[in-house]
Amino acid sequence: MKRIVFTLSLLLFAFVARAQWSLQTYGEYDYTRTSGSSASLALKADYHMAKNFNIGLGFQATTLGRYSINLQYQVDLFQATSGTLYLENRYLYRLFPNYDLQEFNGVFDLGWRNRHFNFQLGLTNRFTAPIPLRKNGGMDVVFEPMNVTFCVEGKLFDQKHPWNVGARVSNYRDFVIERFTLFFYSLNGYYDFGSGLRLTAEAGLHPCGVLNLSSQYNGWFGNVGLIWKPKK
Amino acid sequence: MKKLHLILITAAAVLATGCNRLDVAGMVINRSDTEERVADWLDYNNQYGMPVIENAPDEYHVYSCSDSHYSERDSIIPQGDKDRLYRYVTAERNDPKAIFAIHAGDMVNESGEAGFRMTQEALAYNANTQAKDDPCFLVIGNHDVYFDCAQYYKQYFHTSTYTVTVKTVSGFQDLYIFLDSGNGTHGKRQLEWLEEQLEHRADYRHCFVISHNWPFRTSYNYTTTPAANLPQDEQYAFMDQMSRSEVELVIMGHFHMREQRQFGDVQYVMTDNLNDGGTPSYLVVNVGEKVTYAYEELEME
Repeated sequence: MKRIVFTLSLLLFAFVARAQWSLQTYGEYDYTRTSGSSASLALKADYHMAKNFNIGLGFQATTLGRYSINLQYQVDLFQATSGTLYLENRYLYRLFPNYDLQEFNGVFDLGWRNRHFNFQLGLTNRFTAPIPLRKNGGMDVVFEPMNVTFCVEGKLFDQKHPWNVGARVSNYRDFVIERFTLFFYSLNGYYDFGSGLRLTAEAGLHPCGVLNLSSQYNGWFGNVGLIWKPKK
Repeated sequence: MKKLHLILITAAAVLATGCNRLDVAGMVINRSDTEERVADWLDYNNQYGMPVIENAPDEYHVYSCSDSHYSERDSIIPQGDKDRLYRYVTAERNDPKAIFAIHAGDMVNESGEAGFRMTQEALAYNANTQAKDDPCFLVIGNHDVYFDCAQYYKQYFHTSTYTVTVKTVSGFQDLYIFLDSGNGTHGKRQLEWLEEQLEHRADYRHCFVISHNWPFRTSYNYTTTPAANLPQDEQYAFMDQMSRSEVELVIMGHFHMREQRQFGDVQYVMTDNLNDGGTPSYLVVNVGEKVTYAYEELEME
């Protein structure tokens, strides 16, 4: 057993050592009319483990006492000169200790990306449950089947350009997945300092009532962060 | 290329003007803001006070319906004693144990004031067919704010953020809290007001909350995606507030189907629509030592 664990560890170490990885951190300010102001810190790690496989793990803590963990991987299914078709599988766990509540989401998205654009469309299932889980004999678990997730984003330049600006509309972000009728509109950009260090920034609106046909302002967010991608 | 231009121009025109039923431009243009409406509703309450029902029996009935959607365009207009909203309120007024009725929003289905006027006419007391003149308390729904229609709701029904207090003969008090969720949010000021009302929860035997927008998306009918409109964080904050304040029953409408959920010790109940074909139903809540409820189907000829 020890030999198997040792061999597997060596293989994993070799695999990770060969892999391209990056670390990201960003601080965010969020305001919504109903929750008020909050700040958060996010940490993300991404491993490009193989030519067509990428895995990421992220964690976020907010001043409202909420915590989120996100695990996702992307598999490139088909590559053409016009872009790449890929599958993304994502799991998001959110903890709201102040509300004695927890949430778990599983997402499958199909995406298409090229030098300037990224489109994603998928389905998500969500469980919302009290803390502890078996409160009221487990009767309180709310299951939301098959919510739609989507993302449309574009960038001015190719990803290799030393700076860039872009725009994004979607119903999810790194640490929240809203229903189909609640959009995030954002503008984003980056600047490369060189040596694998990139400055990122994003600002966006989070209205409510969209597709409920009575849209109104609900809140906004802004974040600034760094991505470090060591050169091989 | 000309064809593409034509399609784009047509789409833009539709988006800009909408039709008189679906407020397509309202998807992106803020026609009526919850914060401004709630300020109006609270001003009205300050000026005229909030309803108190005295000398109710210790055990009584409350009726609730939603989504009557009057529309001249769709020929959903009051039809005398065959009208569904009229039949609903008549059933309530002829139930000796009932003390008031509720309409949980979406009175209209098009622009203009006609739907609100028709609703008021259908709810008017008819001494020939109704045993008593019980009031019907209403909240505004998303269809009632399209096309800047909230002004007509205000003209006919005055407020959508208020409480109704029921005082029984033995000295019990029950609290009914009515909320405006027409834009898929309760908004900052209204949630603060709700918190203020719930601070006095201990003074009441039972507490009920009535709002239009159903917060869950739990049905296996996948078309219910648009039913859950509250932002996720607001939904959880709302559910937490209901649980902490020991609200017994939250009554809602919006998605034209019956649904019941329990979270914590709170029951969330959605009533189906009154005017969409099929067999419409309403809710009869029995309020006594305990709170129970049942769906009743509207008697149709």
